[in-house]
Amino acid sequence: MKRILILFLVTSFTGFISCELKEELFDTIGPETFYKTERDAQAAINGAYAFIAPMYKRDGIAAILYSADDITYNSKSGNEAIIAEKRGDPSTLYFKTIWDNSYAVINNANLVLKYVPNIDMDPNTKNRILGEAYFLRGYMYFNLVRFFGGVPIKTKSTEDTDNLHQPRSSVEDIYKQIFDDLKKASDMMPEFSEQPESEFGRATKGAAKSILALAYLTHEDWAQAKQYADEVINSGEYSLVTDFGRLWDVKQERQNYQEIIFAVQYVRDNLVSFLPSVGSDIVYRCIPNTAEGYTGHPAHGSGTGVLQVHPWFYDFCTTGQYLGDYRAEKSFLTVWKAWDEADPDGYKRSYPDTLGAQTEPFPYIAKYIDPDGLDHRNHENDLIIIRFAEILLIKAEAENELNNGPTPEAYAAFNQVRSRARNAGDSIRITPPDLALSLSKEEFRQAIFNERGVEFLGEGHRYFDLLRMKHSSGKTMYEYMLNEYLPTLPDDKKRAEHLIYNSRNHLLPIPLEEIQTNSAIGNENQNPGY
Amino acid sequence: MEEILKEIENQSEYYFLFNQKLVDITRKVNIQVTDKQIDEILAEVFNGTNVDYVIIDRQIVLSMSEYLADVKTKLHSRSIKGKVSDESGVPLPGVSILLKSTTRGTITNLDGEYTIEIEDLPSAVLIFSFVGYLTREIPVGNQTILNVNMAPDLIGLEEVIVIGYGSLRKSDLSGSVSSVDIEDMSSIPVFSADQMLQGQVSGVHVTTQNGAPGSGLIVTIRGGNSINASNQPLYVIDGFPIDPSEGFFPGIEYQAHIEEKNLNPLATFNPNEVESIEILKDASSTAIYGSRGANGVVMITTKTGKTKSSIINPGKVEYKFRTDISNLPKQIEMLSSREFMEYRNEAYILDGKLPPYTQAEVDSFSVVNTNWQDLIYQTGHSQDHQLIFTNADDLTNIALVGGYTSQHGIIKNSKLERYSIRANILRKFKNKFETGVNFSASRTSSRMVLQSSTSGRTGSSVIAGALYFPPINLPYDEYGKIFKDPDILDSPLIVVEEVKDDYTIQNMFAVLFGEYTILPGVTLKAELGTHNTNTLRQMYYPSGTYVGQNGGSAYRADGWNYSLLSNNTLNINKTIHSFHKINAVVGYTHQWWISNYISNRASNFINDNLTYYYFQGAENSEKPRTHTTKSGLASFIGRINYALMDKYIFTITGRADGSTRLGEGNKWAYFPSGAFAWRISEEPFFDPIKQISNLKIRTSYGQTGNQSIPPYRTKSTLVAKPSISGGQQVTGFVAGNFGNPDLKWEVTSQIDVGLDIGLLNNRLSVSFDYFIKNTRDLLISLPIPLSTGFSSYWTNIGEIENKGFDLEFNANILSRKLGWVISGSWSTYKNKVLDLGTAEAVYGNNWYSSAALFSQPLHIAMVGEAVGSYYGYKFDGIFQNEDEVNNSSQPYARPGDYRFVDLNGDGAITADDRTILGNNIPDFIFGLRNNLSWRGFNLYIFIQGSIGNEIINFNRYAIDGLAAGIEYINVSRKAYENRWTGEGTSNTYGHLRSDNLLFDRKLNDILVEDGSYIRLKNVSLSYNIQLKKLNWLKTLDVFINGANLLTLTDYTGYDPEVSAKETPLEPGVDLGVFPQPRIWSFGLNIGF
Repeated sequence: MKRILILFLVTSFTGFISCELKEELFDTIGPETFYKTERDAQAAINGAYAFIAPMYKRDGIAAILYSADDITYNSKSGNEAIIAEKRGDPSTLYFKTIWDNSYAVINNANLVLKYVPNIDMDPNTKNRILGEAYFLRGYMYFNLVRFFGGVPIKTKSTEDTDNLHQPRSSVEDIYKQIFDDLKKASDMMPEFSEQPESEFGRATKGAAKSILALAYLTHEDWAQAKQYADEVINSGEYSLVTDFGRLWDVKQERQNYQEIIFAVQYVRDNLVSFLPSVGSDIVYRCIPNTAEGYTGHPAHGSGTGVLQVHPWFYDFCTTGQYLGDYRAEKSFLTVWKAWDEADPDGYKRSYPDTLGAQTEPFPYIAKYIDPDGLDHRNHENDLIIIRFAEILLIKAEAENELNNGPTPEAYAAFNQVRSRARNAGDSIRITPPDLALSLSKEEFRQAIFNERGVEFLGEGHRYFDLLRMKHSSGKTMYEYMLNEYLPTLPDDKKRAEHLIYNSRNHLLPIPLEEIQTNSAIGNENQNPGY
Repeated sequence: MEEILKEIENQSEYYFLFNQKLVDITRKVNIQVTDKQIDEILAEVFNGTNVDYVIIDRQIVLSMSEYLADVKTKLHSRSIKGKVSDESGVPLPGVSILLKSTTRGTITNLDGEYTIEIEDLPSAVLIFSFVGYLTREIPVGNQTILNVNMAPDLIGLEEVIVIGYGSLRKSDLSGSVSSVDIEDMSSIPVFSADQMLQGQVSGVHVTTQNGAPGSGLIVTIRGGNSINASNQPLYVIDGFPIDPSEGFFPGIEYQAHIEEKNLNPLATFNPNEVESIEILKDASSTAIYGSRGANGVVMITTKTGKTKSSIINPGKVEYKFRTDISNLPKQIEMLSSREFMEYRNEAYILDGKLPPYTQAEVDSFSVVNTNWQDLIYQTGHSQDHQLIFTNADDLTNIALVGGYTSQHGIIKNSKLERYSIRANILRKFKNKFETGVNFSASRTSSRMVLQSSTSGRTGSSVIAGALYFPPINLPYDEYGKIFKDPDILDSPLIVVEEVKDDYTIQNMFAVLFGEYTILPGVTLKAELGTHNTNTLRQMYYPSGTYVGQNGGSAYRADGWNYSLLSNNTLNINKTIHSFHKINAVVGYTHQWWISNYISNRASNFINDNLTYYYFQGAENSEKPRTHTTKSGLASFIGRINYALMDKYIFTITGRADGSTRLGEGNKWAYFPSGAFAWRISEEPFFDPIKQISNLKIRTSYGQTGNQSIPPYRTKSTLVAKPSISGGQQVTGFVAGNFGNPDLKWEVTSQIDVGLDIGLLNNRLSVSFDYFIKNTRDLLISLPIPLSTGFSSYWTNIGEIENKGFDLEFNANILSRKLGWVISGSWSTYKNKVLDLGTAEAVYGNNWYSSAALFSQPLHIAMVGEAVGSYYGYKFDGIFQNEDEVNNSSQPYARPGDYRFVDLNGDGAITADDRTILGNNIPDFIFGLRNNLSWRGFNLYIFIQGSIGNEIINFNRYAIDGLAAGIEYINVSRKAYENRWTGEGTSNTYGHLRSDNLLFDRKLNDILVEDGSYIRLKNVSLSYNIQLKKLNWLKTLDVFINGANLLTLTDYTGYDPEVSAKETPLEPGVDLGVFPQPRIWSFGLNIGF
């Protein structure tokens, strides 16, 4: 019996010893213990970038493209249809994706700015990483202000319950933050040529200055816009790729960074398939579903073809000054190899109906093609945010606005873009011609607007151009195009229900989730019209 | 010695017989005796040896005592026969008869007769015991025939109830505890132990998540306390508390979103292993489980060797067999192919658009007319085999159960298979010490078909898909193979036939215990238990399916959960001076959990042959995801139950719990409770009132807690996220959780007032409780502004109140040849959010978001309303003409559009016009059981119902929305035929539209339906065949049962007993939920 009593005492006693209640963490680590070495710092800045690719992959790019007047959507359902029909509302998922990913980037950039300074590491690398964090924060606020107007400003990482609820700041304050961050970034980051190869694709001094130029332009701060555009041009880091077509050759993507200044990085992902992969998705949306050999679709390399261009815009890019423009040839997909078992060598055609063999009423975009994609939502194609051609056009536009009319410098910058457009690979074309030297300020501005439309089709600039630039009547181009110009066109040149003007669409709605949860932003603070 | 034996032979007439190998005759012994009996002399001679003797006539046989025991008994025994009957002379079968102070016993046969061999001692006493009757001890004397009448005990009062860390006579209870009548379940199709709870006890609300084999039930006791933390009760199996996360199957975020699954611990538990189920409801009963008691406690005790009526069981083997067939009670009528195309054309023409189909297309496409419901449903069938061995005597107690169940659901390929074994063994040593083990192991594997998809990917949900999928789509290709087109969503047929989603859960459970009696009534008990749960989820989407289009896609998740428990208690059970009765326990308990899982995904296989079995054959495979957590709970417990003169009962309970999951400084909490009960019927002044045999008033108050949140929520964490640098994929680290270092317990205070009444010798007993539960510091995953970079964090805010009534009754209406017992339960409660702190409201998730069909929450928790109330727009009919439009808040509407109430009167319908549209909480629920018995026949009828709850029939959102712009959704015939076609034609269904605005994309009260139902849950008829002639076969019962035979309801969906999600905040949505099948069963129970 005594033995049993001893056994009891022992078990009870061991029970008491094990009574320690400290929480042991095995598979997670907290910020206070993570940031120790240079590798940790790199992981942290890479983490801040990590939200940009998913933001643009499907939702962000769809929100930008379908909000404009050139791109249309071929189905009646889905978030894309809602956006294309210009009736997005605070519950539209894709708008929320932009909002929450932007703030995720900002919060993680703030973590970098808080913790990386204390890491004992190479000061140059540290500076570079901190510069990138400023860049990401500034760039995100630039996106946010263009989409949503004044938004809450967060310059500290969220680590406790203080300041969870921030009101919307004024648009002016946001721009102040943007300029501030991007200037710091531009000071701290190296030029593209000095960037370590292992960091290729991340932001550089040139990227910061380019976004600064665009931000100042958007803010109508013409002198600053011109100054930063000039700094990028004069840095000698970037130049136009001689052949516009080559820019869209995914096999030469790395070399195209002579022109590409900053782009959202996508790589073919052999670990994860489809939407969650770090590969690009836009290819799948641009290529028609009858095509063969254009995408990574396992069966036949086709896409969904949900991204289409209104016929009026095709006409616009291929007539007048742009008649025979090489860029239209490289930007539009109107003839494609068809996936058809019965006719293995067959082709399909869309608008324009040149050969009387048209099978589809809308043309497609040809800029994003990657037959080597690992699956149909997993391609190599980077999404260009800003490239040297745009810097030239920013300079031209800033000069024009600054001097109340185009200067020779403005013409020179503008015509550099046109001159490249005439270089059709192995031949030099005569169109588009250099700009006539007698344009008024309004005419020159219109020319820039037009040029940007042709040059950047499918690159996500059009919606912002429409909102930013003014028609000679003084209205925004957005209101002019949707409300006045496009309604005059015949019905077969457009999908009219996608071109309905509503003044509220000058801004996207603040997502419902933010309004529901943020005690400092109520329905009364929503953007007008939502 | 040799000399002594010789001397005895000389001096007496006896002589000895013995074997010299066994009896040592060389031993030296000194004795001196005169005038003594031979027994006394021999006892002295062999004192201190193991030699015994038997005197037969003049011979004395000497041998070792163990060889002589039987001989001695036979020589001196005689047989006693008799008949045991009740007061009115009706024979009582199964009465146990034990010879006092021995292990010898028997039980009476079907006619109440018994025979027992006893030693022929004048002092022999037989003990007759039978549950429900007073135990009798009768001296045998010289009788050989002993007929006994047994007097009934006050029914049920002496029943012993298992409560936490001990047991108590029911009459000594001061808290609110209900027991489930397990015996009723023997002839109804119960596949898992959780199904035994439904409708059986008051205050327990069981919602079938769906009718799929192997899916668990949602059990709520006395209303939900919490918004985000679990509302599940604590399950305690043989004293071992089970953590709800132990049945966790990780899910995946994918093309099609596959939800995680958490099975309640009873969902895989063989119901035949259950001996009793007790539900602890009030704070006094649950406080002993402290931090986990707030949602109530379900105590499961597994089988022992004792039979139901007796502590002695000479050994019984039972074989039970049951087979079922089941089918879908109804279909929902959808449009045929031709009608579907005509409907879409009509919609487009009305909107002045080109119709999508030409007449020629309508004619040619309507050749295909697929009824997807026909293709996915089948007649289900199942079988169940159980082999049970029980045996008990004074010292040992053994129960062995082996079971096999196989179940095929009414959806093709949905199935479940379970193997289980259990061994419960207990052994006593010398009255002071007993030890034993309860061991069980089981393996349950099931194929789940994806039923519900809240993301709105219609193809991934088979039940919603069978409604939505257009009839013009082909099920099979021209070669008879299932038609697959990876560019469109999978047809429901593909989902049931080709997609595999297989779950396996293996449970191993062992509780080892020892109990030592220090003093009479004072015992020390130590228990050591381990529980292993291994879960495996394997999925395969073959190539050609939507998810598997890239050469097939496989997913596998292995979960390892381990829990270790140590309980050490000192129990005191003493009666002092016959009127102080003390039942007390103090102890220390410690439990910890380790949970591990790894999941892998691979795609692009060479072919589909090896499905999910061979990841090496994949071209692409993801990084595995791994997860490890450890958490622990240390507690001190104490309870004292003191009954004074059996009239005044006081209980004080307390538990101190420390948890690893909570913030520093908030880890420990104390959960006290107290209760008082007064048995008025025991008072002398009550004696004249003969009709009332029992009257007890109970009252209790106490606090309990809830800590069931995911671990590590007190810490901010970083997580890995893929990024790109240098043209390569790299790993970035980003903010993961937003931790809250101040996280503490959710605390529930509960007041309970109860009344137990027994009438007419307790032939009618009623138990009634009123309770108020107040939960504060709610553990909420509080959404925070997305601009923080996070979407939510765990915090303690707010307050919820539940109050209501529970009623149970049992009436023995007839107990003669025809027996009739009615019993039932009735409960009601109201749930209300009293406070939400800084939050204005907590919303549910957005439903149907990825397909952008809805993208809004359906639920809200707001002050003054029930948690998870439905939140949407008030429907105000259909605009009949332009005038109505012009005078409305919807200036852009057209006649035929839905009109909503502009609640805030601002002239527009905005999100601010949303209001509460109902909730899932019934006005009351009830269960009514009828048991009729006559000559071996037993008829059991169980009716169960829920009145006054609402359901969001979210299937209708798509199929009644009449938005022909969505080409992949068919519509219901009812909506189509009742559509608005002009002024005065309809005020409920709108006009056809060529866009995709289902119900104007607003949840409104047309979709919120009354979910009341009354259901004939079970009717079973069993017959006990009398087998007097057969020795080898003791009992044979045969039965047939029909389940879910009749349902009275106005609900228009498949089944009102539904919930697509089990989260407390999002109840009551019918979105592709597996309906309850109608089941016919046949079975037999054989006893050997």
